Parts: sequence; structure tokens; C-alpha cells
Amino acid sequence: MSNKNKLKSSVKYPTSLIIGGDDFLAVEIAKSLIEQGGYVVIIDRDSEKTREKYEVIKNQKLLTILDYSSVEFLDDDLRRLDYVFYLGHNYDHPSSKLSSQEFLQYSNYLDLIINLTGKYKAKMLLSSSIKANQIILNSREEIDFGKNTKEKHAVYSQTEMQRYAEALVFEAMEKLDLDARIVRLGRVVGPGMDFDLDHSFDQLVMEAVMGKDLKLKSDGLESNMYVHVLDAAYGIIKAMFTKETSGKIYSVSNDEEITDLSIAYKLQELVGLDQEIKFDNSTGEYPAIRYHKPAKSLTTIGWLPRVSFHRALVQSFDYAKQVLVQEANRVMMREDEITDDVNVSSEDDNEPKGALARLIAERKAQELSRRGSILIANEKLKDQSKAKRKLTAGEKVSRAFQSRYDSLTHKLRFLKKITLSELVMYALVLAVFSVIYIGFLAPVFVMFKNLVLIEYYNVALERHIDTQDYQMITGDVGHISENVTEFSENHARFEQVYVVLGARENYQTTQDSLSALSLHIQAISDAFSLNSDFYELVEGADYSLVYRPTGESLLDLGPGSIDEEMLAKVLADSARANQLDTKIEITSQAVRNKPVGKILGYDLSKMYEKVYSLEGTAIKFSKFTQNFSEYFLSNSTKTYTMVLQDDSRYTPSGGYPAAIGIIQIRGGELSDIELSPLSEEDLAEKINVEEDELEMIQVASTDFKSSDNVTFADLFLIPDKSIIEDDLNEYVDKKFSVESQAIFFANTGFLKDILAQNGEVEINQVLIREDTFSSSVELLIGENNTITRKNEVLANIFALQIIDMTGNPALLYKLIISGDDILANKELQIESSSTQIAYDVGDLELDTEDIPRFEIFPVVDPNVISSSSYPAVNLVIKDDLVLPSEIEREMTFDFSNSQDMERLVLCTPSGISNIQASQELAKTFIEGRLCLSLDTSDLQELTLSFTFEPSVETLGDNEYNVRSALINTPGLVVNYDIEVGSAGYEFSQSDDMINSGGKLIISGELIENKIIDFSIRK
Amino acid sequence: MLKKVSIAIVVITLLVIIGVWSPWRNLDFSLMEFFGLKQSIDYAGLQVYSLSGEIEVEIDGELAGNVTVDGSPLDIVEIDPGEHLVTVKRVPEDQANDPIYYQLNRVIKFEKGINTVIAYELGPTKDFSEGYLITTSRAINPGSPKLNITTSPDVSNVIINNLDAGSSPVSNYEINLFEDYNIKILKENFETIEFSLLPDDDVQRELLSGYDINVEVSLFQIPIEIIEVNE
Repeated sequence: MSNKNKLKSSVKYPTSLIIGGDDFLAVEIAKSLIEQGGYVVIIDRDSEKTREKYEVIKNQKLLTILDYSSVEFLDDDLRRLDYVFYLGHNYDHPSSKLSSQEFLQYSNYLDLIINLTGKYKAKMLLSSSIKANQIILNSREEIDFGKNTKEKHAVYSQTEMQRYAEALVFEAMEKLDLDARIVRLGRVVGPGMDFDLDHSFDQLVMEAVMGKDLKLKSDGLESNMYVHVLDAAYGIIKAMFTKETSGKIYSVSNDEEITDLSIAYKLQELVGLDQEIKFDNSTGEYPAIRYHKPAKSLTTIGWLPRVSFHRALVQSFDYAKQVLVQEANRVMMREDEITDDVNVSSEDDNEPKGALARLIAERKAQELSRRGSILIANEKLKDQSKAKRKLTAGEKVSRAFQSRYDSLTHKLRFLKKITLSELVMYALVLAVFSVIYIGFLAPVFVMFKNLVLIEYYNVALERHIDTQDYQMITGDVGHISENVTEFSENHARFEQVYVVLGARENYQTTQDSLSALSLHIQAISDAFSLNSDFYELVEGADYSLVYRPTGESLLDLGPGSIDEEMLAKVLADSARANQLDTKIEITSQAVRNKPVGKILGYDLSKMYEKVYSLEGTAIKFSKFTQNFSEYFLSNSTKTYTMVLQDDSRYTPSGGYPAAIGIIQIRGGELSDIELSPLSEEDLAEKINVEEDELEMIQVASTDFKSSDNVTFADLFLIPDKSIIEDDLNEYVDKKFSVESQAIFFANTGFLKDILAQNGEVEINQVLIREDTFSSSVELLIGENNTITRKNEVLANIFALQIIDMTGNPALLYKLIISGDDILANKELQIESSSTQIAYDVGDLELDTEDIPRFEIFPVVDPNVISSSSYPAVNLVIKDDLVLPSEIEREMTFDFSNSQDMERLVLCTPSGISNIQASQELAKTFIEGRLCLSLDTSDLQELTLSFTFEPSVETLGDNEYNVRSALINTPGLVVNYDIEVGSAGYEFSQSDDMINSGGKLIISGELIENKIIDFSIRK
Repeated sequence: MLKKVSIAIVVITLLVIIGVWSPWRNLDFSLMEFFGLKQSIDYAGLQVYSLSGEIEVEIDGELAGNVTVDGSPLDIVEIDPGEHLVTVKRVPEDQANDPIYYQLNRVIKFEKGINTVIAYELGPTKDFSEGYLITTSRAINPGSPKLNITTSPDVSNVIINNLDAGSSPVSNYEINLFEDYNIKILKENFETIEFSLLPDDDVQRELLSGYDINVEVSLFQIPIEIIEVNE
């Protein structure tokens, strides 16, 4: 395996870098690190000798040896770096000199290593020597700047380099926050040591081994600190791995200083006294010794030397002997080779003789080799700094791509530090996180967002409901709908979480509630959204209605236009609206069955209250949207008759007609419109009627009517408008030459409704408002108080209001919303032979088909023109429930506050019996009903009693629901007090009833059909 | 330390923002389909039956096909799911003399893999047209599909599998997708209409799970002729 690949695999192990590794101490440190499962990279000369040293380490695959030239590229190949051991303690002899170039190179290496350490956030240990520190301190002023050396450029000593290294590391600690410590070692001795003959210990040991005299420099009192190699290795590792050593300097040596003379004596003891000790006074290389206080001993963090100096000396002596034997063997082998070789180099003759000489020669060769490497490295640097030539465009592009590529690879370099298994593991972790994040966390975030938005739009909705801004309400409900739907969808993702938590049922209940809520709000939102398009259509349409107060028709058509695109959209909406009202009702029921509570701390049901309040409006909108397109936007021409009734001139059908007109629509555009007031002549026009119609007219007329003298106005004495529909269509056909599909009957109540919603209209400088309607009408009539004049005034008001309605979507909105009330009050009634229209309108009317109905018609003078005088009846009804299926009813009519009336007609179900009246009465059967006519002349009150069968539904044993109805007619004011008594039965009533003394009391004004509906139980 | 806390805050904030945004929701990707464990269904379908004459079907204003009584049904496949305006028109046999026929317009929400059914006889007006439209909508309770029937006119008698289901509209009528349902709508003065609710194919029935079925029926008004007799 190449070193590069080995380095890549280092990421699995704590990785240590040892610089200056060709040292027996480095071997001990490396052994220790590898034995503990670490990976070691050695930087030094990658020589055979270095490899030999490390062969003792069994697990070779965890070791990489690189030479110094690799330092620059180390960063590219390393995936991990935890510990850096920079061993710089060997250069402690003052005679060791360095050139500036070497010093610079050394500095570069150290700088690179410091940067590398900082980058990987590794821990660093720099070793220096106690001796070097001591020498530096003592010779600061004596640093030789080249004066005493032969080579002028070699101005730095090895000791200075150590001082420089310490200073650089300290600077990095301060400026780069480097985690580093410095260990100053005594002279490391013991087995495996490299003998440096410049050092007194090494020299004395070698001399002792070779049997020479032991030469001492000067007086032999030069002293040194020593430490055994094993103790030094242990100390360095201890300093590296102990906490809180960062930024500190420690001394590692035996306690005592040993003089050279003392060593000589000890060696004499070892080898015998044959070898003399000689003193050489000619040399005095060491500067004078001053007091030196070493750095804090490593013993302060628990390290203790285990091997005594004596033992270290003995081991060094034995090892020196081994070295000399090995050298002797090697020399013998080389001599044999030389003998065999005929061509002997002349240089071989100069081969140093003797083991020690060869050893010295080898050391020098190693030095030269190191210098050679440094010079080559410098040459490379010089090449890089050469002037750059101009690049071609292609090269620039190429380099730009290369630069991007390099930048990208640089950014992705972190991947280099990951092994395949780690990559797989990280990918798995990422995948699991992604699943959790996308599947669960993100939905929770989205759900919280939904709740925030729901609350926000709910507050806005409340505000817009207050101001009745339906465009904004549409937007608010739409947003709420979107968020509730999204919330519901996200909640569904948590099904498995509920299952795991054992709350499957809770999940189902909540999810069902949310689904129902979501669908319900969506349906309401759809209804509002559909009407929003209609709003835009009306707002953008130009019907160009022209008001002609003096014309035969009060209304005429100008050149109008309609937005065709919007028309198509509204037509599509009507298709979408189909079944929407049903959908709203179905989902509403589902929400009521499955009420939603608090989710994520938010009470959705509270929000729902606001939306729910719009349900009725939404249903109206959807029905209107469905019907509107059919009646007003279809491609076939639709013609409708408009009849304005003056309900202040009472008739059983809601008043005499004041104006009549037609409106023709095709594809949403008006093709014709006419509206004319009816004069007295028009009203007096003779018409032919059927026999049954004549009977009804006779009952309600003040004059005697025969088939010869029935007028157009008399048609309106017939209470049921469906009966006069054909007669009116015939009249319209004759007057306007059109065939009408439906008749819209509006009365002054309807005009007031429009005024209430839209403010006022102005005619002849008279402002007509809802509250001043009657007085304004009388003002406009003036002194010419005729029916013709009154009809003209009412017709003009109606014409102006039609113009208002056609271009005012907001007004139409309001009318749609109050549409139910308008229809229930019979202020607007629609009659059509079209089954569809009949059913659509029927939906909006109170269904009284199967209930016994009682209808009251006063007969009043048709010539009374007052707009403020109405027929009025105070009605007291006393019902006595004889059996659940039979009621004895007494009706008292008080008309003391009424416009004068000639007769009072009460139409009842045909099956009534036991009829008794305080006044003579006449009976007429009309359309299967019995109408009782009572003369009221000179009376203020009359009483009538009878027995009838109410509508009864059996709810259970002796439990029944009982119903009967009072029918209102526009123009007649009826205030009722109904008292229902029943012997032996208990009532359960609705909100508008009071149960008092066993009797049911119901009071009110008959402004729409009233169903008297209660349940009884025996 | 502060740097690490700042980075953590930024990362968490980004995760929350991306989580709230959740752009992956717009990806139409299914692991089951990716691994071929489930067949991809990307389109919805429309089946149109003519009950009288030739009718023309338009989807979003574009002609989708014509169908006659004998040629029924017209199967329109590959409709993109979502809302579309479906228009059904009667093709006049005699352009000059035939009346203008009623035109059925419906915005239908098409669901993936589900056929919507339209069967109609288009007359001159809505009153004189009859037919039915079967659509689906997301179920209120996905585990229990419901049948909703509306009729025009309403308050018609609804018979389901020969049992009286009451007057229309019928709401939330519980159904089992793997049973057959025969629907019959009756009303006085209107022609009775009768049809089968669910497709024959079990696979198509399975696709209906999770949806409620909505049926919209229009009844044909029987014209009443008044004959005057001169004695």
C-alpha cells in the first residue's frame, strides 16, 4: 500500500505525527502510541536505517515514514491529525552550526507543522533540550555572528534554533490559540541511542568500550542533566496526554546533574582501572556556566524517572558494544566485496579505517544528504517565484475552470477525512434525519404555521363580518379553508405515531373531525368564492339603463356591454355550484357529529364558530349562483314580468298593482326593458276571468262583481298569485308583445328593503329614504291625490332602484343575504309555469303544504290612497286541545286601530266544524278551502269559534307533534296572541313560546307565515 | 462558543424556515411507484352515455368527442386531475328545425384513476331533460364511503336496491364498494330513471375507497296535454 493510501486509512485511528522521528526516543514514543491503537506518521529521512529502527514495531500497517520533502504535501493526504510530537531536542551542542538557508528551511517546516496542527485542532508537543536552553541563556551576548567560523554564512547554532522553535510555538499558542506544550529534556541515553562524539557522555562511553583512555575536556567538571530513553518517552507522552499542560514548559530529567568526571569514574568501575582518565585543557568550547534555573519539572504532573543514571550508563555502555560489533561485521562484509571486485575505486583507499571512524563518516554523509534535500527544496521555491509569462485565452479559461474545480475540491476536502464506513454511517444518519425531518418535523412546523394563519384570518374575518365586506370575507374564508385542509393533511401523517403511542382511536376521532371540518369550510369557501366572480361580473358590466321620467316607459336601454370572459367564468361557477348547498349541509352535519377540539393547544372549534355563522349565507350564495345563470345568463332569451304592488292599497294578494314592466335577458345582457305606471284607466280595463277566479274576487271585493265588470285591478283580489299568472301573462303579451317565463311581484316593502340597503333615491328634489318613505311619497303625490299619481310616484322610485341594482353588486349581495326574509315576508314573490323556477323558489318559501292553514283577508275600500293607513288586526287565538288530533279554536279579531274595513274573510281548511260567530257570516268554498266572510261594519271586534283537525305526527306512546299555520298577506298588519291549553298533556315547546300555568303562550307579529308547532306528551 | 451557538441558531432557523416552506410537497414522487411496487395512475377518466340522440362533449371548451345511444359510452381517458368544465351538448339532427337544446355545464373535480359518469338525454329545456351524473369527492370518513343523491326536482322518491331510501336529497347513505347498487328515482309527473351505481370492475371499485360518491339526477317532466272537448 502506498503511503498516500495508508494516510487515507489513518482516519480510523487517533493519528500522531512525529517530526524528527529518526531518533531512538521517537521509536519508543511511536511504539507506545501504536501499541495503544494509534496511527503514527514519522517525518525524517526515509532511510533504511530509520526503517530498521521501526521494524521492532509489529503492527507495521499503522506506521508511515515520510521524508522532510513530504511536509508540504502532508495536508493534502492527511485525513486526521490528533497529536504532533516535534522532537527538536537533539541539537544541544554549541559547535553544531546551521546556515541561514537551513535555518529558513527548518523554520518553514516548523511553520507548516504549526499550521497543520492548528488546522486539525491537534495537540502539539515540542521537545527541546535543557542543555540548549542553558547554553542560550549563558551566551546570549556571545552569539557568534560568523567571526569565529570558517563558513561565513553559518551564523546560527543548533541551540539558537531550539530557542527559535520554542519562541515560534509560543507565538502560535498566543496568536493561533494552538494547543501546545514544550518539554525540555536532559541528555537522553540508553539502548538504541545514536552516539554523537561531540557529546562528552557519548565520547566517554565509546572510549570506554574501545578500551581507550577517557579524555575529559578542561577539568572534567562540566555537568549535564540525563534521562533514560524510556523515562523520556513516558514523560513526553505524559506531558501530551495530561490535561492542562497546554501553554506550559516542563523539564524532564533525573534530579541530579552529573559531571563528566563522575561519568569517567563510573566507566572506570565498569571496565576496570586499566583505562586512564586524561584531562585536555586545550579545549574550552562550553561557555562559562552561570546559574540556570530549569523549567518546572514534569514531576509536578506525576511523572517520575524510573531508571537511575547508573543503570542508564550501564545500558548505554552495553549498547555501544553492540553497535561496535555490528559495525565490525559490516566492515568485514564490505572488505570481502572489495576483494572480489577488480575495479577498486581510488576513493576506497581513502575509506576511513576503524569502526568509530566509519561511524563518524556515516553521520557526515547523513548530514550532507539532509543538506542536499534542503537545497533541492529551495530550488523548487525559486522556480515558483520566477516571472510569469502571459497566458492565452484558452489557458485562462482552462485555469478558471481549474480554479473553480480546485475551490470545489478544497471545499469538499472534509470528505477526505471520512472513511467509507463512516460515509455510509453519515449517509444513514442523514437519511434517518431527512425522514424524520420531512416526515414529522416539517409537518409540525407547517401545522403551527397553519394555526397561526388560521388565527390571523379568523380575527380578520370577525372584523369583515362586522363591516359586511363580503369580498374580504371571501378571501378570509378561503385562507382559513386552505390552512385547515393543509393542517388536516399534515395531521394524517402522524397516524403511525398515534399507533405507536397506543392512541389509534384518538387519531381516528381527531382525523375524522378535521376531515369533516376541512370539507365543510372548503364548501363554504367555495360558495363565497363563486359569488365573488358574480360580484366582479356585475361590477364590470355596463347595462346602460336610461331613466326617462316622462317617457311611456320609465326605463330604456342604452348601448351596454358585459365582460364575456367573466360571464364564461360565472357560467362555469354555476356549474360548480351545483350540489354545493347540499355539500355544505352534509358536511355541516358531519362537523356537528364529530366536533373538533383543541389540537396543539389551539381550539379549532372556537375558530369554527365564526365560519359556521356564515353557513346560511354560503347556502344562499350557492343557491343563487346555481339559479342565477339559468335565469339570467343562459344563451336563450328569457323574458320576465315585473309587477309593482302598492300594499298600502290592500288586496289579499298584497296590494293593487302600481306599475308593470318586462325585462328581457340573453347571455347576461339586457335586450329589452320597459316599466310603466298603471293609470286608473289601465286598472279599470275589463278582463275575462274564469268562474273560480270570479268567486274569489267576489269574496274580497267591496262591489258586486260579475263576469262583465271584472277589471285588471280585480285580479289582485285573488290571494293565490299562481291563479292569476295566466291572466297576467295574457295582459303582458297584449301590452308588450312578449311571452313571459316568470312574474316578479314586488311591493313597497321591497322598495323599502332596497332603500334600507342602498340609502336613498331622489325624485324632483325629494329624497326618499326607508324611514321617510310614506311621507316622501305623499309629498311627491302632492295635491293631485289620485291613484294614477300615486302609481306614477311608486313606479319612478322602482325604476330608479332597478338602475341602482343592475350596476351595484354590493347591493345585490345584501339583497341575496336578506333574500329569505324578503321572500318569507312576501315583499318579493315569483310565479312561473316553469317547474324548475317553481321548485327553486319553493326551496326558499315556507312549506305549508301539509299543514291546516288559516288566512285572514280584510275587505277594504280600494279608493283609499293613504300611504300610512293600513288594515290592522289584533288577533287572539285560544286553542283547546281536546284530543291530539282535534283542536277547539276561538279567534277574536280586534280591528279598532285599523283602516276602515267592510268585511273580514277567514279562509280555513275545509274540514272545520262547530262554527260559531258573534256576527253573521257567509261561507264560500274556494280552491277546496272554506272562506268565512264576516261583516265588520260599525264593529271593532268579533269572535269566531270552530273545531278543526291539526297536522299531527306521532312521536311515541302518547307523544305527538301538533302543527297548524297562520298565513300572512302583505299589507295587513296582524299582531297575534295564541294560547294553547290541553288537559292531561305536557308541552315541550320551541324558543319563541312560553309555558305558563300549563298553557302555551305564543305572541308576535305576523310578518311571515307562522307555523304553530309544539309537542305534547300525556 | 458564541460562534457555535450562532451557527446552531442559524441552522435551526433555516431548518424551521425550510420545514414551514416544505418545497418537497410539490414533488409528485412515490417510492412505491419508483420501485415498481405500485402502478402509476396519473390521469382521471370520463364516461359519457347518450340516452337519446347524438351528444357532443367538451372539456374546458375543447371538443373531447361525440357519442350516440348505440355508441355509448364515450370513454375519455387521460384527463388531468383537478377541476374541469365539462359541457354536454345535443347535436341537432335538423339544424334548421330542431329546437335549441338544453346544454349541461358542470365543473367536475376529477380524481386520479377515477371515472366520472355522465348519462343524459338533453331536451329543449332543463325540465325536459333527464339523466344522471356520478362524481366523487374526498370522503368525510375515508374508512366508510357514503352515497349522496340529489335530484332535480327534489323531494323525489329514492329506491336503492329495491328498498325505499326516503326522499331526495339522500345524504350519507352508507355503501359497501364491493356490493352492487341499483338506484331508482321516482316522482309524480316525472319519468322514472334507473341505473347502476358502481363499475363492474373490482379494480376500479377499489380506487373509489377514500371517496364519497355523489349522484346528481335530473328527471324528465311528463308534458300534460290539455284537450278541450266541445260537447
